[in-house]
Amino acid sequence: MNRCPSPVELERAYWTPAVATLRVHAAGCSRCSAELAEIEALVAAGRAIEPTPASPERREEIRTTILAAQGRSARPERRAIRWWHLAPVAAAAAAALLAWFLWPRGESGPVAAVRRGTVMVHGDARYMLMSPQPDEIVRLVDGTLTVQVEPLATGERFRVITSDGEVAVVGTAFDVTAASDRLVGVRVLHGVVHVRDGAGRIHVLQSGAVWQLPRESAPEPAPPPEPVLAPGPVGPRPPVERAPVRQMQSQPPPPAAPPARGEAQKAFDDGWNALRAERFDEAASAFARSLATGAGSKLAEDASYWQAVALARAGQAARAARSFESFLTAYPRSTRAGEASAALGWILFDARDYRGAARRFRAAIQDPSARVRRSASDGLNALREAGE
Amino acid sequence: MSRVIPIRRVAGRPSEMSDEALVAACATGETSALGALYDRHADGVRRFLARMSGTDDRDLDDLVQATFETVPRAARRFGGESQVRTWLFGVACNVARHHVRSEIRRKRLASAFAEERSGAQADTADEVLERERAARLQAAIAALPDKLREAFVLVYLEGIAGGEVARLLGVREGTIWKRLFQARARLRESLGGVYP
Repeated sequence: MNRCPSPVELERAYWTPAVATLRVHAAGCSRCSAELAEIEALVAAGRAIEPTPASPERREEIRTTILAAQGRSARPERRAIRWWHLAPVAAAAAAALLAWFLWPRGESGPVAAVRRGTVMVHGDARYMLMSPQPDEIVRLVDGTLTVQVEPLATGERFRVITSDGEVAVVGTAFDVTAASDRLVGVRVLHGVVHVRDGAGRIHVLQSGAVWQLPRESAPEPAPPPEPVLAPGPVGPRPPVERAPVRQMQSQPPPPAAPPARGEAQKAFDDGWNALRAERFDEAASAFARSLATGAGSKLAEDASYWQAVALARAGQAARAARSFESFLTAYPRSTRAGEASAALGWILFDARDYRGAARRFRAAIQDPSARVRRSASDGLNALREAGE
Repeated sequence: MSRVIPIRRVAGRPSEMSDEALVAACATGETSALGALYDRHADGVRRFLARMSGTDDRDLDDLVQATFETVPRAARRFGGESQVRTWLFGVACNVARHHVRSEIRRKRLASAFAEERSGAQADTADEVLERERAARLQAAIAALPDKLREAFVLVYLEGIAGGEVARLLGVREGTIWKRLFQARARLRESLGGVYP
């Protein structure tokens, strides 16, 4: 191989026996040598990506669920088909054909079984996935779902319906709760949601906003949605491991997003991008901006938490500690309270405030996340080793 | 290429059967065959899905479950044109494609980042940086377009031959090499230069 291979030829050569020739060429060619080194580095680093292995119990749990589902859907043995078996089928086919001709319809063409929504089930919510796109419908009877909807194409709809209400969305995520087949609450995580209540009124909810059925008309009991940050994919399958549904605060819902929300979101996104790029000081400043302009919104909770994280990563321990304290004071029931407590515990530990650290580690020791619990446990062990 | 059409139960204990026989038995509704297939391949599928979807452990369990729930239906179309492991990755690919990305992934990565941070206080700076680097690579892989990501993960990370990947994805082999080059260029771009 005298000339340098094209990029595509180089890929082919690397993954076939021609790699030997390629290596000989690369020994005298800095460009191809660099390409080879990059491929090898990507292969090595990529193959090192290993998920945490599932515990034997979890593995067995999944296995059981899969086999149970298979058992339910297994078909019976085939039997010989007689001509009289076909009579009802033929009648049904004729009826279906007739209905197809008579049924009024708009656009023609095949309907793809596409779903744009992902549903996370809280507790034992009762729901059904009714139809795929172009008019995807989730029928909710009881309980809370977190729904994440991809951006819809032209002509597509996504709706969650109850007997008396309907929630329609375009590219968003939200929690929706029903009780006794009645719509009782909607909380928008991001995007815009249109809620049609039992009286036919349309409510347009922006990100962070909450709609709740007035108490006097709410069925008993009516657990409204709790804020959930990270919806997960479940689809029609039974839920495997879900966060427990907690009682919602009895406080009135937070106000709709203030007009400055766009600015707050932008600052939050800037902060997040800076954090990922390890520009921690810049990230902390951006989250602080987001916090200042988006006070009272759901975003503020996130911004407050990430500001503290960014400060900790920037090595500004004292400011990070104050920031975590503020977060925990403002959002004591946050899903991130345990993580924040553990992180604060370590900062206090480093600052030799052992009493404060112990208090924070103990606060995190019951967190739902195993990693947070482990961090808190490590912290308490470290305190013991330090003689505290 | 002929298609496996199971018309009667496959003889033998699942633990003694070949992967191909297990797939054929799955197509007839043999629950024990599905269990044996799961026992053999669940870890590999889980690792593949982690690399494909860039998602965290909580989502991974859901994706593994969804993959194996799909196997009995997909098994009816298994034609033996690829190894069962590769074929399972194809099934998992379809599941991963439907996995919602964007916000869920961003939030989950955020959560994972936070947990990692809180659990990593005692680690050395090198360990933390190494983990961050791996996380960035994983996020960059996850952000690749589906077609590029599938080719990259199957060939680069799972070590499956280009020809077999081409058959699995239903494209010409030359297309796979092109996608690999494009995937590498995208990764270089998103990681800010030649890797490492």
